[in-house]
Amino acid sequence: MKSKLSLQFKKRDFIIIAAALLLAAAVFLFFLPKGETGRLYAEISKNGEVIASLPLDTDAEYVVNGDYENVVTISDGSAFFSSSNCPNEDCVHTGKLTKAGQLAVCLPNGVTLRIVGGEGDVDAIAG
Amino acid sequence: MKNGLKKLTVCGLMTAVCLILGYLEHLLPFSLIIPLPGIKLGLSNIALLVVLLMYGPAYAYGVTALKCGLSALLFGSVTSLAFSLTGGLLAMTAMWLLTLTFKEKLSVFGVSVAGAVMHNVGQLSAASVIMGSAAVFSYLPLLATAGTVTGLVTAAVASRTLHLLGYEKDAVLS
Amino acid sequence: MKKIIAALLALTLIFAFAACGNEPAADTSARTATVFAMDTFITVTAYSGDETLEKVGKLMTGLDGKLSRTKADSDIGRLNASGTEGVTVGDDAATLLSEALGYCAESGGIFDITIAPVTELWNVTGDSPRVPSPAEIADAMLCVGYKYLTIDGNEAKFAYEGMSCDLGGIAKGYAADKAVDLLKSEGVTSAMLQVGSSIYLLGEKPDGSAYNVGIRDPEGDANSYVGTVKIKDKYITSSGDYERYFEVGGKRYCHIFDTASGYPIDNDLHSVTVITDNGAKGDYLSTLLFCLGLENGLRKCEEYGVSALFITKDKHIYTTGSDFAEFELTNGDYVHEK
Repeated sequence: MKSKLSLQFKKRDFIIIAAALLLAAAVFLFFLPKGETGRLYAEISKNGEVIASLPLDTDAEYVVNGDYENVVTISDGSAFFSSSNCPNEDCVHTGKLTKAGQLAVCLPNGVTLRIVGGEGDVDAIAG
Repeated sequence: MKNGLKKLTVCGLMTAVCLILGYLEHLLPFSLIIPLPGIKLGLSNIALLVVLLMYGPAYAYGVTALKCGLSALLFGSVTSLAFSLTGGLLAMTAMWLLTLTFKEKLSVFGVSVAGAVMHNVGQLSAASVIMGSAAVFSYLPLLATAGTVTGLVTAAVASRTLHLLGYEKDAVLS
Repeated sequence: MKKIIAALLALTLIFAFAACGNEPAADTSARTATVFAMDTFITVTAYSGDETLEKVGKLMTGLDGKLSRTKADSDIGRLNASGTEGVTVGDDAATLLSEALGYCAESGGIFDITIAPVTELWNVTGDSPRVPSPAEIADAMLCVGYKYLTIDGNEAKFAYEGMSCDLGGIAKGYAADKAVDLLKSEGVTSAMLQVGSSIYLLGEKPDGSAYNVGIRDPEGDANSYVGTVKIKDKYITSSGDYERYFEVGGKRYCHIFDTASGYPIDNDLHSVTVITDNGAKGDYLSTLLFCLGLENGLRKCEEYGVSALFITKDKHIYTTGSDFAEFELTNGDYVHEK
């Protein structure tokens, strides 16, 4: 019989644990918002394509249709899925997003809601 | 009992264990933290780890596929099948490769943690393909940290189970 | 399948304010709705008046259905399938076709709506873009020529088999014009209508100031811009090589074609942005100027008094015309040549 994997914890297992936590830290740093000051926007994407970028300081309601219907509400500087007819309503349960980099997802409808920082005070970007 | 028959029986049993663990996980309000349906901690890794170590990769992949297919059939959807298959196969591959290359250096704990984290990486990859956006990977830090902890817990359970099944003995009971 | 006509017709309508003025913003929450039709996002937002939004949404879906090249039962789809038989098209398609043919003639064929056989061959905006062989391009080019498309009243007809046309280049602007007409007729005096990356700014902001519009940085993401410009009651649109393209062997192939060679435009420009009163004309001008390149483009602008902003590949920005007189550079990577 060949040698077998130990059932007892070994010191080198820490390498794997460290690697896992390092991966977590690296990804965390990667997604850390970069110098995003100024106006915040709620960026709504469907299937990877940005379909709307709404300033967080203007109350609004946005309906995304598709296989399901999500309603994104912007109110008091926060953005959130206020209602959805998708199966689990995980998107609604995610709650309010207020800071750059925060994310809510409706997987069944392929919709992501993300808070991004704008560069300054423009009403719209053309081009 | 013939050896092959016993293997099949244990594998069937382990598939059932996977499904039950998967169902239990399904009951946890995990989606409140990670709002992606089908993203799981991977408790069923206990059973998969046992099969991998006892009977090798062929059986382990078989059980993984069975578990994914059956759980999608029982409580899931096509989307969750994509999630669990990508997660499950990636996790199994990571664990298999680690047992293959670092058998003397690691223990079941390290292998299990690697499996759990790769399970999450796989699921998020599937999600990012479905969403057409890598943004879902921003959940990875949280998931990978949670995965490390669950990986250790599942390893502890698997370790005990393997011990009881006589994994350390050279001659396997038959 | 990605559609060519106005695949960017992600219509975001942001009504800056309802007609009724001075109420605090908190009281009038913006209403928004999106319709997903034919791979296209049609989005309507307003601070009040769901009915107006619905009408605008319907108008947009309707226009898309009439003018889309990829929809077989649209006016343009039927025209393209008609060979040399000719078809009767609706008023919108007829109006836009004759307007477009006017632009084709004015540009001497540099802008040509019958370039569709070539764009289809390259499939830049589709799922499987590729670089065709010179022979294939030459073959497709045989079917290009706006002079061989005639529109008489509502009768549109190709002179040769194999021809097809694509109004995608100017349909967005036309749709914006139509939507603004509708908004005006509904009594809206102040609105921001976003059609893909083009914007119609109706009136001025409720506080009486002009809209502050950023000009997209062709090398940055969708939220970055090179500078800003103040706009009232105008349409602003861009054509460039950065939004829809594919790359092979490090070379970028964009979605705007040189109608003389059948190859994607590849000159000293990254993008051209124009400000006009008319949406369809704005779309035409931005495409034409982008095709012309910096030097000829600038000359054309001076000649016709067009307000345009050119961004070159070596990060220089050139502005011309009164609407860009107060362009303010905000991105230090670029140089504004005056």
